[in-house]
Amino acid sequence: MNSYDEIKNQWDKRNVPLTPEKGVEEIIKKFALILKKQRISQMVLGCTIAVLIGFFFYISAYSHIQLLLGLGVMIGSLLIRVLIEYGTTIKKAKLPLGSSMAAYNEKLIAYYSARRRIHYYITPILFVSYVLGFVWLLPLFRQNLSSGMYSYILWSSIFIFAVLAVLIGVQIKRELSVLKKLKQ
Amino acid sequence: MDKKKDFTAIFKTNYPKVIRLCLGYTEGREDQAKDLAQEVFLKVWQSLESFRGDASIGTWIYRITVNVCLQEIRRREVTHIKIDTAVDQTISSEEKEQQFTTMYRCIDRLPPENKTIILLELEGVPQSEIAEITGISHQAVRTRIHRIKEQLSKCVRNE
Repeated sequence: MNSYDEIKNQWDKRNVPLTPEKGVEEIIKKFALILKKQRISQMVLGCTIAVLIGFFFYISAYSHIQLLLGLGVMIGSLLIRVLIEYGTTIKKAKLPLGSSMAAYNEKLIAYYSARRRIHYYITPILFVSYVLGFVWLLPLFRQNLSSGMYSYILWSSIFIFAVLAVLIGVQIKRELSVLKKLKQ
Repeated sequence: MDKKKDFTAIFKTNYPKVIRLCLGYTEGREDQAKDLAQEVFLKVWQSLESFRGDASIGTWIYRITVNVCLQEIRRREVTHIKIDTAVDQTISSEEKEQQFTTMYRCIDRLPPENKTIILLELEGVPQSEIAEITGISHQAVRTRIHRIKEQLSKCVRNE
C-alpha cells in the first residue's frame, strides 16, 4: 500500500457496522432521559437556592450585621457562580452544530474566550468573596461554638477551599487547552 | 409532520455514511464510532425542527458529524484519555488488518481540519460539498486535498 489509490481501495473494503435495528428507539429514549436529567438538575438548583434563602431567614441573619455580611457574601458568590455555570452550559448546548466546521469553530472560540474572561476576572473575585465571607463569620463561630468544633470548622474549611481551588484550576487549564487547540 | 417518521427515514439513509466517517475519527474502533454516531443522531433528533434547509439534509448531517467528532477528539486530547491499543495488537498478526491499522494511524496523524477533508474525500463526497461542510473555499479544498494525499501516501509507505 503506497499510493493514494491503494489507500482509497483499502478504505472502501473496510468492515462497517450495520445500521442498528432499534437505533431510532434508543436515540428517542436517550433524549427523553437527557431531558429528565436536565429537569432534575433544574429542580436541585431551585431547591438549593430555596434552602439557602430559607436558612438565611431561619437564623435571622438580617438582624445581625456581621452574620448578614458573611453569610450574604458566601451565599451570593455561590449563587452567582452556579448561575453563570448554568447559563454558559445552556449557551454551549445552543451552539449551532449544523454550521460548517469553520463557522462552528469560530463560535466555539467565542464561547471559550468568554469562558476565559469569566475564569480570569469573575471566578477569582467570587472565590475571594466566598473566603472573605467565611472569614467574617469566624469570630461568630468562635463566640458561639466549642473550641473543638471551631477548630474543626476552621481546618476543614481551609482544606475544602484548597481542594476547590485545585479543582477550579484544573478545569480552567482544560478549557484553556481546548481554546488553544481551536485556535491552532 | 410526523417527526419520528421523518427521523427514521433520515436515520436509515444516513447511518452508514455517519458511521463510516466516525470510524475514520476513531482509528477504526467500532465501539467508539458507534457511540459517536449515536451522539450525532441524538443531535439530529434534537435540532431536526430547526433545520432550515439552507443546505441539503445530507450536508447538514455531515456537518453535525464532523463537529461532534472533532469535539470528542479535542475532549480526549485535553483530558489525556488513552486510546486502547489492545485490539490492534490482537489483529496485527494478519497483514490485511495491519494495513487497515496503518491507514487509520496515518489519517489520525493529520491535523483535525485536514483529517476531516481527507475523510470526506475518501468517502467520495464531491469537493464542492466538502467546501460546504467545512466552510473552506472550494479552491482551497482542492489544493489541500492534493497536499494531504501526498502526505498520506508518504506516511503509509514509511510505516
